[in-house]
Parts: sequence; C-alpha cells; structure tokens
Amino acid sequence: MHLIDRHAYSNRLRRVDPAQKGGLAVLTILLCLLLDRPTVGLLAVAWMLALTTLWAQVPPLAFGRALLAEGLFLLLSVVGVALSVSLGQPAATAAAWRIGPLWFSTSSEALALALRLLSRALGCAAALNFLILTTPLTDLIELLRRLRVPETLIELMTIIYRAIFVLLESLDRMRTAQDARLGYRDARRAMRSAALLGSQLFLDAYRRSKRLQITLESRGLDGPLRVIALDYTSDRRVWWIGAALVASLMLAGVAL
Amino acid sequence: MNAVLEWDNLYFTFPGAAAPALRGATLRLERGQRVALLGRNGAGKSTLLLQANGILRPSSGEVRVGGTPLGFSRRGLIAARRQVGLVFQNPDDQLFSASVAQDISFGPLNLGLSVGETRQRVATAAALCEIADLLDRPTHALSGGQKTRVALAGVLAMEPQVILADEATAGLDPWMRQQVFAIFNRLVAQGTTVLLATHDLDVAHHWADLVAVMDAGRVIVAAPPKQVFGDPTLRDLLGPSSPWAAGEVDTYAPR
Repeated sequence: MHLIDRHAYSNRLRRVDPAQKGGLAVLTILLCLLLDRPTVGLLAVAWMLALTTLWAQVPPLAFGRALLAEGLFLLLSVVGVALSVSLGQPAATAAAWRIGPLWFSTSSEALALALRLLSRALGCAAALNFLILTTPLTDLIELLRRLRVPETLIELMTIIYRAIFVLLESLDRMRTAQDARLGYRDARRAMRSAALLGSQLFLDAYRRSKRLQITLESRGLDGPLRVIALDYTSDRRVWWIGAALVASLMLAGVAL
Repeated sequence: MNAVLEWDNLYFTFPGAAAPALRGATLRLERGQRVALLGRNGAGKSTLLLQANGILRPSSGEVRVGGTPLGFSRRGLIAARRQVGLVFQNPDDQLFSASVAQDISFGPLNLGLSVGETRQRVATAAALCEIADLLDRPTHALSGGQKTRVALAGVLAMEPQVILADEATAGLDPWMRQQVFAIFNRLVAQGTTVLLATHDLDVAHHWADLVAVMDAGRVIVAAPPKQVFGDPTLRDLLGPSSPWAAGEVDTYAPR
C-alpha cells in the first residue's frame, strides 16, 4: 500500500493527465482480452514494464513485486485448468500421474488453454500495475469524477482513501501502546491484544467520523463534497506510444 | 464598537448529560481582537465554540454574528459559517481529502464561489499559511505542523470575520507554534478577530488583547491580560504558570 502510494506520487508521469495514462492501460486490457493470445499477453507485460520503468522511472523491483504477487495468484487459479483429476485412468493425455486412487492428467489443449488464460490475465494485471504505480488515487478519483461516476461513490472513495492513512496511524499508536505493556509477549496474549485492538479501532473510526462531520459542517458542508479539479499536463508522446502499442499488439495477435 | 460575535447568556446541555455544559455563558468579541479563551478541562470552552456557528444549538440564549441573531435555517447556518471559521486541535479530523489543494477548496466552493474565485482563494490562503509548496503533496505525507497549517488554510480560504481555534497550537513545537501565531497576527492586522482556546497561559499573557476565563459553563472574566493575571484568585483556578512568575520573555508579541 505505502509502496505503491509512494511511487504513484513521485514518478515522472505524476503530472500527466490521468485520462492519458488510464487510456493506455484500458487499451492494453481491451487488446489482451480481444486478441486472446499468449504472445499478446506477454508482449503487453513487456510494454507495461518498459513504460513503468523507462518512461515513468519507477524502479523495476516495484513493478516486479506487484506482478509477482498477482502472478502467483493467477498461477494457482490456472492449475485447475491445466490439471484434471479422475478416478480411472484417463485416455488421450499428454501426461498422467497416479497418486493413490486418483489420476492427475493434463493434455496439450488444457496446457494451451492455461497458458492463454495466464498470459491474458498477466497482461491485464501489468496494465493496471502501470496505472496504479504512475497515478495516485487522488488522480484516479479525479478521472472517475470526470467520467461522471455517481457523486456518492466518489465521496466514499475520497473519504475512505484518506481514512486508511488516518486509521493506520491510530492502529500503529495503539499497537505500540499495547506492545509497551507486553501485550504481545506470547501467542495467547497476542490474540487477545489483537482482538482488543480491532474493537478499539472500530470505536476510534466511529468517533473520528463524528468529528469529521462537525468539521465538514463548520466549513459549510451543504450537499455533495465539492472540490476543485486538479491540473494536469497533456503529454503528446502518449499518442505515439499508444499507436505503437496498439500496432505491436495487433501484429502479435494476428501474425503469431 | 460593533461586536463581530456575541454569545448572549447561553445555556446548553448535551443529550443524556446530567449537568449542563453551558450555564449562562456570555462573551463579546470585537473586530481585530486577539482573544485567549482559558479554562480548565471541561469548563465548556469547546462547547462555547461549537455554538458560534450553529453546530450546537443552545437551549436558551442567543448567538449574534455581526449583530444578527444566528438562525438555524439552511441560509442562516451558511451565513454563520461564512463569517465564523472553526479550527480544531487535530487536523486529521478536518482534512478529508488526500489532495491538499482539493481539501482547501472545499469551504470556498460551499460558499457558492465559482471555480475561478475558489482557485484564487486557495492560492491566497496557501500563501498566507506558507504552504504553497505543499498544494500538490498528498495529505498523508505531511508533518503535524504542516497539517495544522493546511487545516488553517482550509478555514481561511472561506475568509471568515472571526477565527475560533480550539487548541490549534497544542502539540506543536515552538517553531511551528510561532509560525501559526505569525499567521494569526497577519489575520488580525487585516481586521480578522482570532480567538484561541488554550491552556497556555504564556500565550494568553503575551499575545492576547482580551483574556476570557471560563469556569463551569460560564465566562467568569473577560478582560485585558494585565487585569486577569493581576488577580491572585484566578491563579488558583488556572494553575501555576509563568505569567505569575518573574522574568517574562516576550515570545508571542505581535510583530
């Protein structure tokens, strides 16, 4: 959370209009889904890695760690596609293993399908990584506001995003106070302390919400939470990058 | 002299509370005054401030903002909140947006100002509070002192006649506190009235023109600091502190 947030606020594309960055990410996702080929997905990952690290100057490690976490989840979920389980010996398979009464088998079609799913999902995940590592949530909220997402959702996102950090600070303070009184010296006490902490944090959040209501009303809250739009620069290179991206992905999808 | 803000014989009891929080509180603030509101914890300082812009409604008595009785209609409340700005102790209670600029723009937009005027107000308030370089930083990356100044800017952008600050300088280091007082002094020079509810008797002694002391829901004294700190009976109420001691340092003098 903090890691992504830090890069999002300090990368070189921070000032670029979120619509442009969002546009690139959405284009990539659409092409990955429509063309649906392993080469397209993998090429999309390479593109997004290049844009994030070379253009936005986010360290490759940050991109890699985010993608690795997503990749592990995806890998787990395509295992079910690649492997089939049966009681009797399966016919026509690429490989089969017997463990006790169960047969685990895979076929070349199943493997191909799993690879296609994995690469497609990885391509989409990489596109989202590019977006969140280069665009702070305030800008994404601003983009959604421009796209006429309902006001209530925008307000919720604004306040929740801010509350995450406020409550994390509270959490940290409470945990330190418990720790200082040996609240975490063994597993049993740690469980008990954590439970107390959870309920206290809930109360804290509730009290904070009441105080926030007072301060917002003091500043004339009267209907929706209105704020000014943020300023961005428009980067002309985005159009060329977008064109090259679409052309190469299309080529990979059609030719390979 | 016309009062910019008057609390006139206010009574108020919090729902479910046994004893009233205010019992006949009366105080009158004039234009361009520096006011320190003293009183022990639970004396009713915060409750008094929350009455001033209609967050709390007195059971009897009247609040007058610029001579006009505070009305509890939507228009009355907007008028009161335009003229009376409240700053709270914990800036995290006020800052709702992760974008500093957007947070400051909230108040002016609520006053019905155009986007252009609002941008102007944000820039002016940011310059006044010396946070112009923080406008595009995320709120959660600011230090405590920076957050305090951003919260103050969010209130100043509404250009109120009166600023009521509830312990706004508590917990700040002397440098940060001095910066906040520099902002207050600039406001006072422009004719704004600034009231600070505080436990810091030094501040009351050296900075304020008017010191109001609350006890048990009433304002028992409102007088120049010389008079208040010349009264030995108040020492027992407010507790030992340097204004009664020898060797004063003029840290909070207006410049």
